[in-house]
Formats: sequence, structure tokens, C-alpha cells
Amino acid sequence: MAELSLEAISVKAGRTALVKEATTRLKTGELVALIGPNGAGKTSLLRGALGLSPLAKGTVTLDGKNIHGLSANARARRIAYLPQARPLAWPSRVRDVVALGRFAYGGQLSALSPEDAQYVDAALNACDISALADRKASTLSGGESARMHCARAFAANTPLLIADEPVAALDPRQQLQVLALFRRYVDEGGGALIVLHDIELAARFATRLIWMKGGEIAADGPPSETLSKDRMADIFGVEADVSGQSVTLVAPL
Amino acid sequence: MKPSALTVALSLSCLAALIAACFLGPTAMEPGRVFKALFGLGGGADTTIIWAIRLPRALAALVVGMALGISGGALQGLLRNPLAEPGVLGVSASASLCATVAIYYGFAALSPWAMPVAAIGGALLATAIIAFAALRTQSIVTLILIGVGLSSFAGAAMSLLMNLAPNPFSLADLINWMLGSVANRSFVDIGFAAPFLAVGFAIVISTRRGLSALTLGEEAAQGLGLDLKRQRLAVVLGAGLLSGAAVSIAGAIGFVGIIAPHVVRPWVGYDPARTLLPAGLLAGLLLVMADIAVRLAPTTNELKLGVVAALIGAPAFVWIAAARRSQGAADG
Repeated sequence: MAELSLEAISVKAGRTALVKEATTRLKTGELVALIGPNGAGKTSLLRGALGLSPLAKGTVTLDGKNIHGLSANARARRIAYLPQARPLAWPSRVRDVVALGRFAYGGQLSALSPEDAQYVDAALNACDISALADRKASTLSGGESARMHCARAFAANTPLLIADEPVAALDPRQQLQVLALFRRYVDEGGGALIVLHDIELAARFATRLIWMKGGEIAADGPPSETLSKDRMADIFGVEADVSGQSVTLVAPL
Repeated sequence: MKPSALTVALSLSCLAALIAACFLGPTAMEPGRVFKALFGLGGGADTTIIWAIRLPRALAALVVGMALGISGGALQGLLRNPLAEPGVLGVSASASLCATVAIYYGFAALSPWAMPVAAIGGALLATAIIAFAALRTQSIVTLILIGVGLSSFAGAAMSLLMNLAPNPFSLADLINWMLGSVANRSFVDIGFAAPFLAVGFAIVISTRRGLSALTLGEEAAQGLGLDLKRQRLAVVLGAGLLSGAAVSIAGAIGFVGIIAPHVVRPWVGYDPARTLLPAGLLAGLLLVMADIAVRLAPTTNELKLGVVAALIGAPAFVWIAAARRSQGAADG
């Protein structure tokens, strides 16, 4: 059991408020989708929640302890973080990239402990990339690369996971595959907060939706309660037909 | 770290190159005399030639190469770019400038530590400028241009200061500092740089796991549990100490810090951590061999070691840069 709790946090860049008094939480057993238009402050919220950005106001607690008081290592053993995908600096081997997930446990890529190696193998397996383990990461397709990054997050064996647009730029089949990985992680006892742009996918996979607009959390609740025609108009400025979990975009308002 | 086969092979090659370097010099000595002198069994003159002239010179080349190779590997890991290196980034030139100031304005006469400390101060200042600039820009082109600026400024300031210097100086000294050489270096010169080399080495090695983590980018590395500020500070400090100490021995020698890590990387799975030690050994080996080449070259005035390093290194630099472009590198 783990819980990340955001109490009225504000994040600023200079004098611009990126996040304004946001309150929410993430618990194990939840798959929470963070949705909102570009520039709504989603990434800033994640960085604030992880303690990577200083807070202008509010507090973030991880299992009751202020996250800014935790060492980077202690935090990383509780929450794995997948930022928006960036190209790797070097053409590293897939297994080495996944093994970096064990960083907080002191493992070295050249000499992984048996325990570290076990988690790395399990994560490679879970993400169905064992066969690619000795390939260079730079030779992977977009979907394979996304699964490699998931594997590196899973290898950390943390109770919580935060991912920023993990399915961006993937084809529909790869999106479903990657989201299925997150769902399984949650079914096995984890708690995940992921930024998604596809509302329909978010409504299908997530147990809760956090709607953000202009740095504020506008709504926070299960898809059945928060997804509506009016909400789509309010948050995204689009006319959409909403019935159950299905969303059909009609036109910009 | 358990030594890899690569590290062992490179270490043995370095040893062989050091011994080979002891055979060279105006006094011809057959192998038996050289080995006797090496183990202190030869005549007084032979022992002096080997232990006071040839071995210190070769060892200086080895140590300088190692320092430059390791600091190059560390800077490349930190900046996530294979073109970063003390020479290219203007670190060596800045160290050279501060060392000459210390010599020609009399500080070096006050204490034998003044010169290495000045060189290291210059190196740290330049490394800090580069690291600070790296925070503001993701573009390696900008960083290299800043390095070019630092190098040019240091070169100009050096000429100016030497014109104004109260102490007499020779053009040969200026050239030694700007081009780099290990001729006539003694164990004493190496000894004064040694503590700084040791501390710099220890600091850089302590950052190696963080360098691996930075493969994923700074944001993700922080997510993995890396203390980014401390990592940056440690690499700047370690690389600055190493390159400053190298300059205090041999002046500004460029490009070895680029070539050695570049050659080593494919052998160690492109892991910046595993690159460091073999890159240092290879760079040391390259400089010892380059210095042997300098002494064998049939020129009337002995070529400068730094000139040979640049003759080989600069084309390699261009080649690496061009190859990166064609791969469509992300943050060029």
C-alpha cells in the first residue's frame, strides 16, 4: 500500500503559475489518467508531485512523509517516473536501459546483483521484449521502444508509477499493448498516474480521470461521472458526442 | 569494478609502450642495458638516463593522456555528447592561461604548488562556465562555440600577458604551453600534479553510475533517483581537476579526450560508466606512442606532442561530428 497525496500545490516558472492549488492523490490499485489540452500544466503537475520542481505553495506527501524531505533514492524506490520519451544519448543495449531502472538500488550495469538481474529479466518478460534484450535500443521501433521504457519502470519494482504520455506517437495496436501493460501493473497491486491525450482510451483503461485546464484541476473522478459532452466542451473546447465510454469528436467550438 | 578483458589488455599495452619509450634517446642502449637500468642494476649514467629522463617523460605522457581521456569520457557522459572534451571546450586553454600567469608573474616561484593550482583553477572555471551554459542550452553546437570562444580568448590573453610580463620569457615556453609537450618533464613535475589527479580520478569514478543514468536524459535520470545537482558539480569538479592537472604537466593537448572514449564505447556497450577507465588507458597509450613518434620523426626541431595529437585528433573530431549528423543525432 502506498499513497501519494497532493495538497493544494502550486508550481511556478518565474512569475507564471503553471499549476494552481491542485489537490489530488494516487493510491495503489488505481489507474489514473491525467488529461487536458496542451499547456494545461500536466507535466508541471507531475514534476511537482515527484518533488522534482520546487512548490510555490502546498505540500506533497508520500506515505505521509513530505516528498521534498526524501532523498532522490528513497523517492525513486517508491515511485517510478517515465517522462516524455526522449532519444537516448547512446545506442545502449536494451537490457542495459531496463537495468537502469534498478539505479536506486545501487546496481551497476556491468555488475548487476542476482536480485537486480531477476527484476530486469521479469520486466523484460512482462513487456514481451526478452527477445530484444541484446539489441541496441536505437534499432527498436516506436512501440518496442515504448515497451522498453515501461520495462525499465517496472524493473524498479515500485508501488507507484507516473508516466508522461507513454503512448504518444504510437499506432493503435501499440497503444493498446502499452496500456495493457499499465493495467496489468495496477492489477498486480501498483498504482499508476499517466498522461493521455486519447480520451476514449483514458475512459476505457482508467479507474479515474483528472481533468486539467489552465493549471487547475477542473474535475477528478471515475469516467462514468466526469466524462460528458459539457466537460469536453469546457476542457478541450470541442463539440463531441459522448455516450458511455465512447467519444466522437465533431468540431472545434 | 572488476577489470574487463579490455582494461587488462590496455593496461598491458601501456606498460609495453612505457618500456618501449625507454629505448629511445640520443644515447643508444641495447635491451640488456635498458632493463638493467630500469631495475637499478646498471651503471650510474644509464640509471640516470632511464630514471631521470626517459621514464619520467613517458610516464608524463601516460598520466596526461589518462587524465584527458577520463575527463573527456566524463564530460561526454554529463553533456550526453561524444564531441565534448577538455580541449574542444576550452578547458585546457584556460588552464594553460592561468598556469602561464602563475609562472610569468612570479607566483610559481613562491611555491611549487602555485602552478598546478593555477592550472586547475583555470580548468575549473572553464568547466563551470561550460556546465552552466549547458543548463541553458541543449545544443552542443552552442557549447562548442563557447569552447572555441574560451580557447581564443585564453590564447589572446596569454599572448598579451606575456608581452606585458615583467619576467623574461622565451617564445619556446609560450609554444610549449599552447601546443603541449612532455619533453624534459621530471618525477617532481608529475608529483605536484599527482594529488590533484588522484582526487579528480576518485571524484569522476564516483559519478560513473550517474553518467549511465544520464543516458536516458536529465529528467528521467532524476526520476531514477539521481541527484542531478550533485552529479553536475562532481563531474565538473572531477573533470576540471584532471584536465587542470594534465595541463600543469604538459600544457594544452587536445583531442585525445575525444578519440579514446569514441574508440572504446562500442566495446563496452556504449555505457558511459564502463567507458571511463579503458578510455583513460587508451588515451594514455596514444600519448605515449605519439611521444615516441615525436622523438623518432626526422625533424630538426622536435615536434610538439600536442601538434601530433591534433594532427591525428582534429580529423577524427571532424569525422565523428560528420558521422553524427548523418545519423540524424537528436540534439546536435
